[in-house]
Amino acid sequence: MMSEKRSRGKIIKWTIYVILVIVILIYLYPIWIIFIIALGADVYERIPPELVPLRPHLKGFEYILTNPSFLRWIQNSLLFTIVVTFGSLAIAIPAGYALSRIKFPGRNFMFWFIVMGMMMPLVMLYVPLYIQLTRMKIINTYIGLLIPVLPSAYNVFLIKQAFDALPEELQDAAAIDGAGPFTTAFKIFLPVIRPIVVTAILFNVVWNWNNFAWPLFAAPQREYWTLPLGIFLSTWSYTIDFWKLAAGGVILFLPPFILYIVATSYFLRGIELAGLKR
Amino acid sequence: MRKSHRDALVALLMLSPFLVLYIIFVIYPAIQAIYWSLYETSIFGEVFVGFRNYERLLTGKDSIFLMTLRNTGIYAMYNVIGILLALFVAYLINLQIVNRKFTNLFHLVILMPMVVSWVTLGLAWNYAIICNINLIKYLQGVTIDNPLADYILAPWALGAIILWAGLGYNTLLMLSALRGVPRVYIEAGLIDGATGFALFRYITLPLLKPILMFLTVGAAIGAFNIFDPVATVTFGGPGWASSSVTWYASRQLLYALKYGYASTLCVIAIIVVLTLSVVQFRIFYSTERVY
Repeated sequence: MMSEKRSRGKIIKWTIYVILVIVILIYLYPIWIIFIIALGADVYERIPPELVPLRPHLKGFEYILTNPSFLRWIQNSLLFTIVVTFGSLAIAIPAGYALSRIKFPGRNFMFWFIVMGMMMPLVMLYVPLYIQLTRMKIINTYIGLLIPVLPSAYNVFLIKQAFDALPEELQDAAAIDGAGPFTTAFKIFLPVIRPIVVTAILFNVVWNWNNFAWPLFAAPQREYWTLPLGIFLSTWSYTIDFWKLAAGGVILFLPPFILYIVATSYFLRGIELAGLKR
Repeated sequence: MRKSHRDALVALLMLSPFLVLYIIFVIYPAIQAIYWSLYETSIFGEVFVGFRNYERLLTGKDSIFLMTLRNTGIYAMYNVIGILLALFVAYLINLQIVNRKFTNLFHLVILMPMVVSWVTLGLAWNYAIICNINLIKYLQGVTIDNPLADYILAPWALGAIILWAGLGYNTLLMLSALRGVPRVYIEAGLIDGATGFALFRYITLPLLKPILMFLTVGAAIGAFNIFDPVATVTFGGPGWASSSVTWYASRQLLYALKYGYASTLCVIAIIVVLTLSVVQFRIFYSTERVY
């Protein structure tokens, strides 16, 4: 009787392991395929397809990293990621603080006004924004590419929530010490929510590096493309070999992936605590 | 100066950099969209057409729009299936039979699509599917068609890939919800003689109802917002077979240069998504009171 129960437990345990291992394999499979194609494996013409590259080479990576167009797009991507991440948080932090810790008339209205922006479908807003930028004649400029995506209601909401969690006493203590409102905000409150700010920076870096919808609208000309957009639009050109594209895909994949591996706990907490999504 | 006045001034100062950009680049364009939706663009310029764009869309005269709506339904359904699958996976992990290190590895792997650009995922899946087709050809000797290039199968195949990408996120949310179920409830159930499935069905599941509802509404919103997967995996194709509303609007704008028509699509989608979001927010705030 006892041993029967134990063996049943064992079967359940191994079944769960098998299910989870299969799930893991489903997740690794496409990533593995793009890696080996980037290294020169042939899955198109050869039957059976090479599941391990037989004659690995780095020509694809060499091509991407020496091609002037791709280099330009990598530069644009870095610029976009850095400017949008830090610019967006630089305006979101004071706004989040004001919404959370300062009592002023119309605060509630202001909160909903900003939450509304968070609820709107982002890509849908790009449609009228594109028309507006065309009229303002800043389509195909760095200003048009970088500035319109700075006001992120999402970031403000995130920062506001972080400030909300701090106790009232902190504000009182600061007031007793005679700290002005800006000192209270940036010297006393901001350092306390540093972990959340770090999490926000990490997520923003990943989002902005991967963002290709906005550059697709704002940068019709190739000198303003970012790396994801460059690779995406090169897919439809017949002059580029697929292992070069795969290499581009891998290069695009690596920076956020490394960040994710290095700071896994931040990413996990960001999702669990704040429900951060792509 | 009175303190309340000074506070209001400080708040305004802190909010203004964000607010100015927010109004110029988010609120104003959204309002502009309503204005543009009343026009039709042609080579002769813009012509005021009143509600004709809306009429065309809402009376079902645009078969492509109907197709994108059907696809939105398919993707929403996949999102719901994804939530249930996530609940299942989270349940398996939460049994705590699997060792901790393996669980961490599992999380690391299934969350990975969240940090990877859809451009990479789109390429990777296209390659992987071709690789599978060749493998099947080798092993079984039969040639199957690429589902992503098939008019009927494309939205279903793409939906599965979208599910794949979001499963990790949903699993993590479910897992923290499961861990939030107070231990005492489970113990009370055990004392009453409930085991295994009954325990899950009558104690855990009712407690998870708010988050399940929250995520289900989120599934519908997510389906309306889908853009990157459609663009990168199938380019909306073949034809318009796997297009989403957002993808259709972007094509109307950037390729057909029909500003008015694209704006109309945009207004309709914004209204639908805002309505669903308000419902979702209501659920969110009522859940907080429950716990």
